[in-house]
Amino acid sequence: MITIHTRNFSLVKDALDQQTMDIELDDDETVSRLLEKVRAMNKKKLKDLPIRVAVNQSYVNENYRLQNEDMVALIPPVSGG
Amino acid sequence: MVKTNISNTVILALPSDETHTNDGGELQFYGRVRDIENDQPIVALDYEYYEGMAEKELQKLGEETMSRFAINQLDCIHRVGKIPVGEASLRVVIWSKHRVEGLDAMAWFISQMKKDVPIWKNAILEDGSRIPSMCNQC
Repeated sequence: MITIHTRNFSLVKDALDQQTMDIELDDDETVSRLLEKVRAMNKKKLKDLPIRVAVNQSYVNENYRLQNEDMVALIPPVSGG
Repeated sequence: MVKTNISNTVILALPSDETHTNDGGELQFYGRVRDIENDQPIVALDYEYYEGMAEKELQKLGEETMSRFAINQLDCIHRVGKIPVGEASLRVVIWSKHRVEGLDAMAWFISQMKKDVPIWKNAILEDGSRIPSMCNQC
């Protein structure tokens, strides 16, 4: 098992009502699997919300294999400017 | 040269910089907080950002803009926190030899910023309630 630490922003934070989470995954799980777990926490609000993932402050794709103790940001559509 | 910053301080208007004697074009763009959001009057926008990554992505984007367009300098400051209606949330200044490159670079930089830089905003309504503010016109 591995443990990853998430930071939840904007609509993800609102949907989960948490700024951070610790999530356990099997070894070698991908970002795609992580997003499945996250969406299951609030299907109504997260099912159709696009979420990008950054690991250690860099964007990664859904095939990225997570490592134990990774810092993972859950990033819904941004709206700066 | 690229200079970017994210700050919670007020963004002031700049005078034209007359030291850029090689540049025929100086563009200044200010993004300001409108008084209406989703047809509702608002008093402010409250900007949230991912500290550390937002600065890194903004600087990386500035450098990519410099490499894509024939411009000589790009300065950008994005304000975060609570910003009252009428005040600036964003200032971008681009210097270039000719206007077309500067105008194209400005449009591309801002469009990409609204896709990649982890910054979000909530509108604060007159009764104090908050609604997410999405980039419908991005």
